[in-house]
Amino acid sequence: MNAKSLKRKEQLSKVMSDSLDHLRRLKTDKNSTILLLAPYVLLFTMFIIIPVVVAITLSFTYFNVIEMPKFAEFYGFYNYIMILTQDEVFLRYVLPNTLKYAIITGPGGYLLSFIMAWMLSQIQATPRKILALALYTPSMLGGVFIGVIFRTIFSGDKSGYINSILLNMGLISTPLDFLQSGDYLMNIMIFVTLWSSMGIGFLSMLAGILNVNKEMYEAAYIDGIKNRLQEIFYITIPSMKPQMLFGAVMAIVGAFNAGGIGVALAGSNPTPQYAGQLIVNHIDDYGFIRYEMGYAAALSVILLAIILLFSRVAYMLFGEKD
Amino acid sequence: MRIKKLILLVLVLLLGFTSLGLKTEVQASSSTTYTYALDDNGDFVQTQDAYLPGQTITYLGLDKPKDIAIDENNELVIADAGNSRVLVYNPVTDTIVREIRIEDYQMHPEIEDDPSYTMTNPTGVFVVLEESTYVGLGDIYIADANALIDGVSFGLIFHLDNSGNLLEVFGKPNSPMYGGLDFLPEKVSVDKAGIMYVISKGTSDGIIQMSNTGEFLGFFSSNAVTLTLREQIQQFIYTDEQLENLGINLTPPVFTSVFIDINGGVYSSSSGIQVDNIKKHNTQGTNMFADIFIATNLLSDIYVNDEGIIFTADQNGYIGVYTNDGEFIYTFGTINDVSVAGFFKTLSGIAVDNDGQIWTVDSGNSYLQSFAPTEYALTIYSAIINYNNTNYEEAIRLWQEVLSLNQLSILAHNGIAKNYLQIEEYQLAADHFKIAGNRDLFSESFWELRNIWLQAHLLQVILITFLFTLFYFVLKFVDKKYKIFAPVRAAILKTENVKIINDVLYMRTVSRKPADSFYYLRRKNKGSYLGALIILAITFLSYLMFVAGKGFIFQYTDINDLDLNSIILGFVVLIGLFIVCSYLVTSIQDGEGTMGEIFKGFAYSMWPFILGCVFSTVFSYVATNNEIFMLNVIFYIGIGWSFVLVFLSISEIQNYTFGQTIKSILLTVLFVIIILLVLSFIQMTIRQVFSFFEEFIKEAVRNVFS
Repeated sequence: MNAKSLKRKEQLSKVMSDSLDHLRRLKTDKNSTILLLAPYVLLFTMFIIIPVVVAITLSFTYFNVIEMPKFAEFYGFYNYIMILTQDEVFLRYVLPNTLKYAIITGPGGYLLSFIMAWMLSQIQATPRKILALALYTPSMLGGVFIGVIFRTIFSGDKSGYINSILLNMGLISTPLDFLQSGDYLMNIMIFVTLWSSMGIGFLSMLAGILNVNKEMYEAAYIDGIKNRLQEIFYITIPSMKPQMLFGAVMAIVGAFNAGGIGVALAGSNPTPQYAGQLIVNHIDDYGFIRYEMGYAAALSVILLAIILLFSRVAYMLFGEKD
Repeated sequence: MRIKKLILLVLVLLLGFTSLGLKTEVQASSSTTYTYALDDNGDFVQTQDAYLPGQTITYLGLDKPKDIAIDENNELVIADAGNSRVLVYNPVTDTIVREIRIEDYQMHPEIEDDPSYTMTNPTGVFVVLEESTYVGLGDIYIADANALIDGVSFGLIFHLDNSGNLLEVFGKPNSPMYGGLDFLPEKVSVDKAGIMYVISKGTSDGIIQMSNTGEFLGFFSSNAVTLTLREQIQQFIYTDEQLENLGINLTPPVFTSVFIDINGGVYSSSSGIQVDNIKKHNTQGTNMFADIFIATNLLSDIYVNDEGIIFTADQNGYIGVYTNDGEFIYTFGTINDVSVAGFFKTLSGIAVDNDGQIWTVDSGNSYLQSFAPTEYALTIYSAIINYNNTNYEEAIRLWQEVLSLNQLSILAHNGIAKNYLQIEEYQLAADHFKIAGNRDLFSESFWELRNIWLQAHLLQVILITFLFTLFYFVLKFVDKKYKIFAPVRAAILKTENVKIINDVLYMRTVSRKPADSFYYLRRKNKGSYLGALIILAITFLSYLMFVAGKGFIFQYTDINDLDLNSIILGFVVLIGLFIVCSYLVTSIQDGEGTMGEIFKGFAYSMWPFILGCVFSTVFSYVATNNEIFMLNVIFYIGIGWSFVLVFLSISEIQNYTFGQTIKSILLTVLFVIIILLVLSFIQMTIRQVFSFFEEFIKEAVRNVFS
């Protein structure tokens, strides 16, 4: 052994002991972990956990914004019992309406988004960008602006576009009252929502489709797939499962949380004959018109439960499994 | 003693017979036509006589009377068009109270050039029954399309007071809005504000509304042209000239009468093939009786009594009666050339006096005919009135009386149920609505019943669900630790591994992972023909359950009315044909599959359909009309999913592209239709041949043996 190698050995052992030290320090020093997690935990607690907990707590109380919340009867379940047994408007109109609206616009909008995204992915980059922007525009404009546009189109007098066209063609003799009669409002709401359903889910799916490795398609063609349909089934969808799941959850949440469109179209809450009344409108009605915050909170909790239930279904269909 | 007894017996018998004979004689002679109501399938069914022909008044010397009204003294006001007069007749004292003629009448003879009016053809009369600042009690309005002003023909409306003095005359409105249309008033009605509602001959724009000074206010309501689908397509494509040559009538059905009742409600009748011949208008003229059942469609007159019960006259001699909600009660009367009380030639006017008697004029006959209501009719009206006045208990008692007369009266069951609904006796209401076949209101009462049940049991339901969930998780946890269910699982696994059960259950996998599954079905040892057959049998059973076994609200055809044979035959034939045709079509289009594979693929696609049928059937027992959407969604998702699976199975089995698959399915459907047509032709031909030989043999037998 010469001096050089000895020195080397010394150096090596020093480095080793240093790193061991470092590891040991890491193990004992929990503060840094907390420090690193703190911003996220703090923000999440402040903006998500506390409001949800407060809402759930409020749902067991009677609260009219002026007095202190009072604990409700029936061990606090008074609001829930009222909703599920006494609230005729809720059981008769709001719940069936919401389910109908959500079941059609959720999966419908989801399918439309996927089809549109897939079609856009088949064309060149420049027109794709322009068209994607155009399709995304309704989501940027928001419910009120869409309401204004479609109120002109579906206006209930002769000056409405649809009525004018139908009258000119001789299909009807008097203008149809599209937005105030209750017979058409729900279907118009569904139509408008589908029209404007290219939202954030659409963008994520477009990105997902564009990210699929092109070589996979080539390989699949060599392996024997024959057509575009098989391409979608065997390559595109399996490769973009995360985006599909994201799109599905966004579609479900969006469908159940929508409420502005009916009020924006009809111009009043409650909507005529409760035809376009969704849970969110009902919450609005109780929370900000009647100031029964406890009741409104209970409704929100029920809405949360429904959304969770349907999200579970989405996870079962698209989640990472097997 | 014995003789005395015998005589007594004979006397009693005699008395009995005579009284019996008398009774039957009365019944037989008084009613000349049957009364018809609706049964729960919406078909006409004979019911008790509602009205019996009463007086027939012949001596008034009427000639083509066109209209009749009742004035404030319960006297009849008759538009005797043929004699150019209006007659006020009192049927109780049997006297002509007044005869109104207007001949060269000048209202202000002192003024020079004052026009003189002549009434020649009064076709419509209206009597004001409620006084206001604009109209006096008993004022008479007369519509005359052929009146004369200084000898020149004009359409006019005369306004007279209750003693027959001419007050006002209204002619054609000179507003430019009215334009160049003719003004030939046939019928007139007046509301409290003196606003006139006029029906003008040949005006298809609707009912003319005129102010109390005779200004044109607008067309009150109009009828829509109803065209068949073919005519609509022709109208869309052809030019106006072509349409004219075809003779397609684009003018809407005409209004025949307008009536304003004591509460100011405006009613109108129309004549023509359309659905809304009886209208009750709101102030804007919109029809509030949008989808009521109307028994006849050539209506000539309408009358509404103080309680809102609607009486209609049909040109073909039918008198119809409807409730104030437009619900059909019954109809009676007929057309016949024989002069028998209760038969009509051209029924033109109807009115009902304060005693409930119907008075009719017939422009073909020259006499007045009255009809007196029977106890049956009066009880029904009384029940309806009590319902409207919220005397529900009394109404129920009356409806029960009607039911004791006629157990099958749908109207009575409906009426009684509505009262029960009002007093919140939902179970009774539901029972009666069920008998009456009224699904909408049954749904309403069922909703209430369900709600009551929920209110009573919700906490228990939640508790039980919670306990069960808890129990489930506890069991799961215990099982994980101690494997207590291992034998059960093994048993299930064993049954699932039995070949045939495994084959059948494979359809679940198919519905979840179609693309791979169809491949395995074809290339690997998955599924079998027997399994496919069993699946089809299950499919058929669940479909049958869906068709025949839904809850009352959704079971539109009664199970007894279903033709089971045709359902079975249709199911088997359609599926068989589809599979065979699909094979024939695909085998000449580069398809790779065999018929057996197509059969298996089709059968194994049926799992969602089975689920859809079963779930929507079960759901239909707890659902009401409110949840009909959910029911449809379940069913259509099942059908849609199964259809997608069939599509994928063809695509996968034949190794087709998307376009090729669509093409082959369309061709298959076309082929199925062609085969069905050919089969029906063959069947018809065979029947012809059979009947030919049958006739032939019959003829031969007759000739040989006689």
